[in-house]
Order: sequence, then C-alpha cells, then structure tokens
Amino acid sequence: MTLNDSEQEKPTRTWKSWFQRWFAYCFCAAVILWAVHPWLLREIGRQLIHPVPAANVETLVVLDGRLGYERARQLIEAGDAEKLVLHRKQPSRVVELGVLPTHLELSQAVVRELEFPEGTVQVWDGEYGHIDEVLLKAIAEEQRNGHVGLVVTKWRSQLLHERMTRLAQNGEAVPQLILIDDPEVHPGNWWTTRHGVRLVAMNWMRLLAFRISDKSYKSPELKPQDFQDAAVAGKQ
Amino acid sequence: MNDASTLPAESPPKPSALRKWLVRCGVCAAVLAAVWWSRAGLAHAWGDYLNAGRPLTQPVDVVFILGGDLETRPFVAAEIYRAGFVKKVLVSQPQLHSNDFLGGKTEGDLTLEVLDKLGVPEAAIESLPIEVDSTRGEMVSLRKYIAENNIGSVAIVSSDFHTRRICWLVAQESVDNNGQVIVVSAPVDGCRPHDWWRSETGLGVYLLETLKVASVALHLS
Repeated sequence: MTLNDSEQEKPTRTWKSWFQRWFAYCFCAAVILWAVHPWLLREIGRQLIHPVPAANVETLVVLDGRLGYERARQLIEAGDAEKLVLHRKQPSRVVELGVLPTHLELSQAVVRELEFPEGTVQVWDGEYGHIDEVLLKAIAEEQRNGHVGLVVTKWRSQLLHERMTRLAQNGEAVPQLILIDDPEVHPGNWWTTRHGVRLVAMNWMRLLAFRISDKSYKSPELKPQDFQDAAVAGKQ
Repeated sequence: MNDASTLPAESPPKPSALRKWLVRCGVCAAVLAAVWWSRAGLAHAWGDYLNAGRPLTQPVDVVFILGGDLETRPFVAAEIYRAGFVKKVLVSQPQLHSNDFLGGKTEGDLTLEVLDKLGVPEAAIESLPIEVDSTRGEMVSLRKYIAENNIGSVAIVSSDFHTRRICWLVAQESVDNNGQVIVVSAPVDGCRPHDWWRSETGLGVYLLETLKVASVALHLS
C-alpha cells in the first residue's frame, strides 16, 4: 500500500467508525428505553395523579360528569359525606340557543336519576364562568365551614391541586380531592389503549399549559361576525 | 529544549477537544437564546401554519362538519348555507364517546339541532356515520360518501388549529381525487392562531395539536 492509498482510505475509515460508534449508542439507548418503557410510561401517567388520603368531608362538589355524581351518591349513602352542592355555569353559545340544557339542569337531572336522599342536595348562589371561580368558591367554603370535597377524575387531580394551591392565598387550607377512576384507563397500562393515550396526552398538555401560561391574558370573545368572516370571503 | 519543542506535536489534542465542546455548547446556547428571543414570532408562525383553512370564494356541493366542537363549527357551516354557497350540509356522527354530559344525546344529534336553530332546513342536512371515532375515520367515511354520491366539491369545516392536520389526512386517505376539497377554518373560543401561546387554553390546545400533527406525519394515528 502506498502512502497515497492510505491517505485516501482515511476519511472512509473515520466515517465508518463514526457511524459504528453512533449506531452502538443508538442501539444501546433503544434497548435501555425498551427495557424501562413500562416503568417510564407509568411514571409519566402518575405525574398527573395527585395522591390524596381518604377522609370524611361534609360538602361535595362534583367537577367531572356522571361518574362523579355516582361517586358522590356512594359517599353520602355510606355516611362519608353529608351533602352535595350543585353550581350554575355561564351558558355557552349552544345553551343560549336552547339546544342543550344548562349545566345546572343537567346536574339536577342526574341527581334525580340517581335518587339522592332528600335534603342532601343544595345549589350554590351565583354563576361561574371559569373553573378557577368554582375553586375559589370551594376554597372560601372550606375556610368558612371546612371539609369540602371536590370529586374529580384522577387524571386531572394534579392540575386541580396546583390550581387550588395557586388560588389559595397565604397558605389557606384547600378542599380535599376525591378521585374517581376512568373505567377505560388504568394507570398501570394507559398507553395500551387509544383512549388512554388521548387522555394522558391531553391532561399532560393542560398541566404544561397551566404551568407555563400567562394567567392574566384573555383572548377576545368570538362574535357572530367572526363566524361570517370565517365562512365566506368578502361577505359583510 | 528539544523536548519542549516536540511536545505540542506529540501530545493528544486535549485542549482542542475541550475547545470543540465549548464551541458546541456555545452554539447550542446561542440557538436556545435565539429561539427564546423570537418565541412569539415562532409561535405566531406555527399558529399560522396550522391554520390551513380559508373562507369559501365559490359555492360547493357539500359542507362537511367534523365532530369535536359543537360551539363553533356548526355556526360556520350555517353561515356558508345562509350565504347560498351550499345546498347540502353533512354532519359527522361519531361513536358515542363524548356524550357523557350532553343530556343523553350524541354530539351529532346536537349538531343537527344547532343547524336547525340557525335556519338550515332539515331537508338540507344529512348525517354521515363514522365507524372509527377520529379525524382519520371521518376522512375515510367522507371518501366513501364522495365516491358513492358522485360529489364534485366539498368544504370541510373544522377548528382553525385542526385544519393543517385535515389537509394532511385528506392527502393520506386520498379523499381529494379531483382537487375539489376545500378546508374552512372555524374560529375557536379562548385562543386564535396569532395569540394561542399567551393563554392557558391556547397553549393546551396547540401543544396537544402539535403532538397529533406529529403522529399523523409519522402515520402513528
């Protein structure tokens, strides 16, 4: 081999060794990732769940749909809670149109269907536009009477805990969270179903958004003109 | 003297390796700083990129309302109908997954009611059953509908941040064989393409959409 030959081969050998080295790194990383992925994904899911010890409460507020009301019914029946309070939400566009009943009417319908014991259901005064307003009311209620429980799906409990901690001033006590399971998604294998992946991805993005967003900014509300402008070009 | 003069040539290039890493770290830091400094512009550009829909400029045969936002999408479709740009409105009827607190009705049923209230006559509305509850499932059903009913042009109405993904799915599922599928953006409550990164709602929606766009790009969903 001449000197020229070896000089010509040198870049090829360098590229080859670089490729081999990186292939080895990537292969090892892939193997490690594959070995730990169940643990890793479980931990990613668990970060969304705020662990809470079981405790008796006096007033229940349901924040998550029908399953929440079923859980509230069980707690009242078992004597672990005394009453359920319902709240009004500001009506959305579809509610104003008369297509959907109000949030309060829907809640009352579920309460009737589940046959809550008489005298155990009350309604909070006022109308609440944002979840923060409901949480502020619950915190105020906690200061006044104590033992308020918020019934929520476990997958958004960390977000609600952080939200309440931010809203509570001077380290006020915050209401107890009462977690309900999603029957279709288990924390131990959420990534095995399409619904589980959607749920965890959505709640992670919400948690992330809560942590990094500018809390004071509010986007302008939509007007009927916005829909007209979006539909057809040049229509006034 | 000789030893000292030969030392730099013989010793391994440790200082230069260190310098190389310092340069790399410096470049990374500079890139991160540039990204941070121009974050508003980048976020604005990303919002504009995701918003691939446009208002209609000419009439179409059918308007298809995708499921997912009852509060805005039917309102845009009704405006298209009222402007005389379409005679048939097609409503997505996905599986019963999101009707937990909708008074026992499906989202598709409620969309029909919204259209009725907004003045779209019953004769002009048709339901399209969706076998798989996803945007891809809706595109597959739309492709079949177009083929079976010999439809010339279709306008798909969805939320503004969702329209780029729809364009990709239209291409992936070969929905648009005649080049006659137009995507129309419906505005969204709580955020817009030019301010999404400033509000909590917008960040949540756009971060999730970014994940979904990536999954469509990689054919994972």
